[in-house]
Amino acid sequence: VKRLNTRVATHLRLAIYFCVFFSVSTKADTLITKDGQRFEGRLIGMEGGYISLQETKSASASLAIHRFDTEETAHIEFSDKEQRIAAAEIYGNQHYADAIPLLESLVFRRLPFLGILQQKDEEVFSSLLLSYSASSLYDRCLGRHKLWHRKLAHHKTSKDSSIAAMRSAWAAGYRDEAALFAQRWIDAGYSSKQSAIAWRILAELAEEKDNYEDALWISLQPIAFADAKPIDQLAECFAITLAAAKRLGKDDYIARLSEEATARGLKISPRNATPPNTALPKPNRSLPLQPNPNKLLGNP
Amino acid sequence: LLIGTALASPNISYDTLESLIQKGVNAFSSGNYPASSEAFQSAFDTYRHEPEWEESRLSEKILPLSGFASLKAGLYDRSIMALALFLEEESYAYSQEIFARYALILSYQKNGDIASAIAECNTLEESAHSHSLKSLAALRRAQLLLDSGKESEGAKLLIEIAQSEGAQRVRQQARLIAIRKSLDDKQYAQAYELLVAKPWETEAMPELALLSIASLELGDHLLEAGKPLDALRCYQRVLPLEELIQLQSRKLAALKRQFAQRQAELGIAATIWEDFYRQILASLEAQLDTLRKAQDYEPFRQLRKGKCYLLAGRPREAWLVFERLARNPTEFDPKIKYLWMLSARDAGYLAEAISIGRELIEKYPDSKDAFDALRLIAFSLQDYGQYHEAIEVFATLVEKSTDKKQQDDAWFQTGYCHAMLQEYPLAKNVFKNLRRNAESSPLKEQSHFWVGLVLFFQTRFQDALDEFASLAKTTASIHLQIESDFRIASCHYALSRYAEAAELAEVLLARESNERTGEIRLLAGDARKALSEDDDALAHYLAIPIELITLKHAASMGATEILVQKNRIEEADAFLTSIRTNLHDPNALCENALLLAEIKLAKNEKAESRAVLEHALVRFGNDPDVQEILPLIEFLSSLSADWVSDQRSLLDKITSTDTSALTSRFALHRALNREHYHESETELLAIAAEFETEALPPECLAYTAAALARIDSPRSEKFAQQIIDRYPNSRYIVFAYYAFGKRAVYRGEGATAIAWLSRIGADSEEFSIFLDSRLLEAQSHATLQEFGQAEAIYQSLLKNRSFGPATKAKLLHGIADLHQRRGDYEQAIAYYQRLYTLYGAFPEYAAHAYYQSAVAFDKLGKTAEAIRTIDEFVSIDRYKNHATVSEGITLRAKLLEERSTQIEKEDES
Repeated sequence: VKRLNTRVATHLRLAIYFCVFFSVSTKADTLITKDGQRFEGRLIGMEGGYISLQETKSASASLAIHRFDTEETAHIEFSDKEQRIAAAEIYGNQHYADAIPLLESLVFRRLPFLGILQQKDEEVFSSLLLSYSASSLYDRCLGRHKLWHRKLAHHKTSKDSSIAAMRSAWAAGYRDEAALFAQRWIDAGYSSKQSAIAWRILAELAEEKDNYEDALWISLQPIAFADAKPIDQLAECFAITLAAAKRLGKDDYIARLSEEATARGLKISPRNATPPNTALPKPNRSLPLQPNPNKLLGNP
Repeated sequence: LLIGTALASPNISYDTLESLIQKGVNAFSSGNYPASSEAFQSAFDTYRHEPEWEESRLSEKILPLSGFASLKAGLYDRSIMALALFLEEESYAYSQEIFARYALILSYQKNGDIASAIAECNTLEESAHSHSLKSLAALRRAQLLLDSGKESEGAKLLIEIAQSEGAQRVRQQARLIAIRKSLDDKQYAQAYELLVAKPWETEAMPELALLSIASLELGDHLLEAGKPLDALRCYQRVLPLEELIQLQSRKLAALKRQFAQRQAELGIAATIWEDFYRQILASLEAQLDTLRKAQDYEPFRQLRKGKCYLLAGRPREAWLVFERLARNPTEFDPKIKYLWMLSARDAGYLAEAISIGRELIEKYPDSKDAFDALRLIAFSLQDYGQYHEAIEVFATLVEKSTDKKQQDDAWFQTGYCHAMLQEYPLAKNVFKNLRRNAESSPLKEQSHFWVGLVLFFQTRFQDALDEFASLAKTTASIHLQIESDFRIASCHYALSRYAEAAELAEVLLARESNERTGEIRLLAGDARKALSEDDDALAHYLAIPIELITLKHAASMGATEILVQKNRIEEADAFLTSIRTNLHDPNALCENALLLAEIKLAKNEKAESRAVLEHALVRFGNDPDVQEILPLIEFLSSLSADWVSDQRSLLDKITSTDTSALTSRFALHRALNREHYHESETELLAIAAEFETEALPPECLAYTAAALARIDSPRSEKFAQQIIDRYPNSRYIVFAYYAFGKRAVYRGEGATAIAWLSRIGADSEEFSIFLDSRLLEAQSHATLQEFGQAEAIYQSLLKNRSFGPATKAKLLHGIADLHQRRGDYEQAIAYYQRLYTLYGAFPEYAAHAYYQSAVAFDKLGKTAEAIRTIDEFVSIDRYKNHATVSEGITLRAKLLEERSTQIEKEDES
């Protein structure tokens, strides 16, 4: 009954969002210049450093297109605010697959303006990538990440996009690529407060090469700096640390680490001898850059 | 009274009920609570008996407002009267009741009538319909209880509220107050329970800030109280200041938006809300301001987290934290570097610890941490076994320190280093000096104890015993008393006074159990066994608890022997098997396997015996770090009918693809079992040629290094270096010293040779290189004209009962030669004569002794004795073919000629 209710609720919610999304908004997009002037119309593109805004009503038969220098533009606002909020709610409730169609529409609307978007508008890009990753659409996530990540202007969205890429590359079995993303993340000085995936990837790779000392040190990084808040992939890091400590015969250390893992309420699953992803076919996607072991101990 | 005053007034003006109510409402709306209270009170006093009052149910409408206005105006009696009267009415609305009761509680509280306030809280709790309201009333009651001195009752209630099903915000509030109260009352265990045991359930300010501050405070207390893990949990709950400022800014902005929205919506209640909002906004702004002005505690929090890790035995995490902190130097940089160094040391990275310490000393040479770092460097060097370097650092510490106690400590460690270097005279001097001059009595006694230990190491057991006995008589330290008594018993045992050793050990065992009980029990067993009192010995061995597995394993050797002698083979089997399950050390397991295999063989269970050995070999044979493999191979090969195919089958069972370690061990076993010396040497050299040095276990590196050194190959040094680098704790390390020493001898570097060879202690007697290394050392001393030291070595070897007559002859020959070279011919002759008299069966030495004895007589001018010696020498058949015989004959002829010339000269004269 509960499941049925949930399904009904999901369908109902989708129907509502569908209505919200396709109820054509009469509101116009807005462009605000640096001197505070507001221009309404339809944002139709950006080229050569100029934003094009088309009038939506005009006394004459044709609708004029105005061009604005991006240097003189403070920001732009889209008319689909309700849709954005609706998508954010579905995404926030972790219904990633449901969120994808909505987010894709929002993304395509904003794509020409990537680089000058406000953070709230740019977040639809990172949310979409994370939704792809959570819905096992790894290749789509990686492909889009490559297209967009250099243009993302905001720190948070850039980080979220990288996390999505790391998750996808790792889950898809593209280990070299995952290692490259992870090393970039660490080299950039990002912390493990949001996600420990970068350290997990590099630690697991070290573990695969029987380099338990490195595996231990790398996986310990997010653990050492973790506070009480839950951290994505921290349980995996604990598992790698414990396995490496066992391999290195540090039994007393295992007891202390296990104590903390238990106190955090983490369920540490025993590690298999063969990592699960090695069974996946490996396409020829090896990248020229390999993680440099000397740089593994980056800034968490 | 008001009416009375009004009547007395010359300008009497009567307000209508409507105008009074209007006045009251207007004053209330504008926040003029005294005027509002006055107007409502006046309306009540004047018109309450009027029918209109009753009909319009004005009590119900006016009294709560009147009560609240009076409360705000500070007219508490009036407020209480109005609210109490209202609550006596029967038909008020529920929402009004809540409002009135809450205002009444506040009025009682403000009026100082805490008991009534508490009673009213109880009523509110009972009458409230929702959990939230009940818990809100309870929270107020708890605060009243705390304010009225009923602290334990109040605290208990707070905890109940925190654990209740009330509104989250109220529960959180109760939890916060309870935490604060526990901290103020120093009830840290309770504070910890409240703060850490459950999630915080809030992401709101200012609760998060208050919880963060409380966590920091509690963490500090727990860290100081030696509870690093609990402290760590507290520090992990603290949010960074930056995050708190962000949250507070967001909250302030949200509240401002909410305020602006509500202002338009509210009617008369707007005043209450405005007042409320203004207070809240002012408070939030003040909090934000405080947060912005506060010093960022993040570095201190990380520093404390690092300390927690360090104290909780998680030095790797501590390392990571301190390393990161050290990247952005603050005023605490020296302290952070010192702690980083400590972490590195605790994590077992001694070289890194030393390097961090040296950086600290270089950067902050005058800081206290630099001095501590220097000490830590010295200790790290000690741990590394780099005692010479450690001695240098301790010398710097003595020089730098102005504190006598610190100097004494540094000297004590210096003595320890000398003892570890087997520089016993130096060590003894240091300890004796400290025993006399150290400032602290415990250090004096420790030094006294170490004087005894050094003597024990020097095998001067009687002297050691005397030292321990004198210390045992004088010391007040129970620890040293136990140690000394145990050592006295050990000295008795070493002096073969087994009865004394056993009796003393048993006296000690009768005392209260202590950290040496297991060892004393083992000693008692060994002593009784030496006295052939096997039953008592066995009883001691069996009484060692299995928890002391190392001692139990040591006891198993003696116990097994006794059980076998008594034909209690099954018991021996069961005993060894039971120990086996508790053993973890691979070397001990190999030893156990050897014993067990012997027992199985004694039971005629050859197959089982082989199985035990094979199992141990398959499990540990390919592990280069396990040292006890050769005896296993030796034993198994003796049981094997087809050793070649057995070796192949064992190698097949090894799971690793690289079986170099076991293969090279098989090759070493083959080499060491060759009948002829040169065959053995050839096989050893073959091992050196066939295997990568990196693949060889320590025993293979050792024997091949020695063989290579014997042919003066430079490769021997590579092998020797591998042992030192990869197996610094292996007992085979002495082969490396031997190889380096031997090479130095070849190069004619006597002092270098001595430096290497003197590291080979008496505990290496089991190895074939022991005697050769001692002889090489003596020869090197002789080369350097240090005849006294050379003779001391020979003499000490002569005392060794394990050497056969051939060796004894060689040693006597060496001593005699030394005297000969020094020109001490009398002594040389004495030794030569002793040699050919006692060891005539060894012509290579005895023949030479005869000849050299004659030479010595000649040097002394005793020609007749010289000729007589040669006559005796050449008359013995067994020397007939010896090269020195012809030299003797030549000498005799020369002597005879000299003597006849001499006679002629005397005659002429």
